[in-house]
Amino acid sequence: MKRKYILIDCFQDIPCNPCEEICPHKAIEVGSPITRTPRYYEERCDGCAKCVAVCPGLCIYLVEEEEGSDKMTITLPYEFLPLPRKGELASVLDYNGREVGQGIVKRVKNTKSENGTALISVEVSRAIGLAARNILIRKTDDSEPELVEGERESFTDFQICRCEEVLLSELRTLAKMGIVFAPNLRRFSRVGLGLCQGKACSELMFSELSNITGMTVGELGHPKARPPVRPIKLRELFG
Amino acid sequence: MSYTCEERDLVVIGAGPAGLCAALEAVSHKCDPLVLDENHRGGGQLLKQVHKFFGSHHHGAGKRGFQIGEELVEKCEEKQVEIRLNSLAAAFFQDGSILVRDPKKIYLLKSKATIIATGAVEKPLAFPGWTLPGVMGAGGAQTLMNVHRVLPGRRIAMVGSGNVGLIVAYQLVQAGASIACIIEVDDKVKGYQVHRDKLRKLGIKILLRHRVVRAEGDDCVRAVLVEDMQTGRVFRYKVDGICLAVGMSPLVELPLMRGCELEYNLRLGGWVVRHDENMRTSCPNVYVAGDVSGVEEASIAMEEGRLAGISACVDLGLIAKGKAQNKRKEILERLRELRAISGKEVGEDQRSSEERNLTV
Repeated sequence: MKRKYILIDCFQDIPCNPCEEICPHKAIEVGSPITRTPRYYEERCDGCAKCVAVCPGLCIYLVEEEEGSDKMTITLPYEFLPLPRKGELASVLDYNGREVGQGIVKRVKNTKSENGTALISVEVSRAIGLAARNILIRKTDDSEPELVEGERESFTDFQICRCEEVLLSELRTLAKMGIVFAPNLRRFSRVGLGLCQGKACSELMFSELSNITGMTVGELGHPKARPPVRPIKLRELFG
Repeated sequence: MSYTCEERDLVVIGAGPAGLCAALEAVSHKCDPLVLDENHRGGGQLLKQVHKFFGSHHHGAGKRGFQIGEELVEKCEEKQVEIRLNSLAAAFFQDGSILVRDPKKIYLLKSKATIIATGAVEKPLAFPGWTLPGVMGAGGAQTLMNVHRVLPGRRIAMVGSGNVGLIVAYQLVQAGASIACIIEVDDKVKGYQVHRDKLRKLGIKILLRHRVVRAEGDDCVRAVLVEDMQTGRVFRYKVDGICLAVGMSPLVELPLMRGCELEYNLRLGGWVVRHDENMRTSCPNVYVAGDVSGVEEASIAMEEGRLAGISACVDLGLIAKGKAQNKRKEILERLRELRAISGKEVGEDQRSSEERNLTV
């Protein structure tokens, strides 16, 4: 007896239902509201694996098992290059990305209908079969981070506005002098008056002001906007 | 100095998902919209989204973002919507005229109705070393690799575990980089579980209750120092790139210049353009759609674009109120479904980004 069924790792109520829509046999049901997690009816499923390829979360897996066999085949969605080759030995990873064993790649399906998500079928031992969620894509660089002693105490200054090269300490000095009204602080420090028109630094200036004044950014008032929104050469304007 | 002035019924600023959907909606009501975009291609941020989208078939779920973007542009071509690319809306004056710059000239546009769909810009995060080459917005990294085919680094630290951080981290691995760590100040992952799981199944760790202390390097980033906020211990990760995914701010300059009222909503990205349910702003005949009205997802932006398109057509006298009401009801229902979750656990990556802007 051969059995085919899917596993679905979809546990969060998100608005998503392509699995339901693609299934030709109504074996997956999301229903309404669309945020419900999918329910699966194995008796209607023929193991076509369309849902495995379409799931945007890459969280559906097809399991094929045969009575009496100590092997099973897992078909998983795979979006990396190069694709594994048929017959290749692959390291099998579990839900946490830990290596749980090895498997043989039995099929690689990557046609137009999968839309870039290849279906990789890996034969694994029954013992690890249901835990298999991925295959190792490449040797990862897992160099361990190094513990650093004596960090944190010292204040290191840095630019808060790159266009006008204003240091955080300069901004703080002005704020301590009582210049906490954003338009004034901008005029004195030139934060936000450079090439990027404040797209990066305005946000930083307001959150710094918020820290200094104890007011929320919302209470500090919104920034002003003057034309043009991108720098335009005078020659272009008056050419 | 005087500029040529062109008159139009409807101008849409921004050819992203919101702007294109607004234009398509308008054209279906016999309106002839003009779409402006400063980029050389239409589709906005969709063009660099190589992952498959959630949602229902209404929003192209199961398709990849760039495919949805390309389809929208094709539909516009089919309907003969005029899209002017490389055209920057540099100013939106209080008299309602728009100053446009394209590579050849500068001119004025006067429109009876204007839909602003300018999107959002990435929020910065400042720490010692943040100005080093190699520190960049996650969206910027995504543009580099998915649009320009340039890998932004070989080993990268991602700051922020919202959907943008998770998705870009995954795409960096797809592009051939490795992720040293994902750093999150909060005690839980901010993005969708399935996005998190894609990384988890690759063995990539998300460091919760951690923060960036500083970036090290002389000519470019060589390492990032990360503090475990519970133990106070600091670790050095050797990286050549740091991506910042700490939320987005709506690009409100144009509506602000025009005189539209703003309101502060941290969950939606900070200062957003105040608007009613039908995307009308406080200025008559000015509408907003997409991230400029509050940072949310592309499928929400598309629905908002449709709403704005309907409102503009109603105000231009092109659709009867009753017909508009029925269409709106359907869209609002879909929006309600899409937002059912975003108010709860997802979309929260905006919420604490304010306190994260400065880490010292």
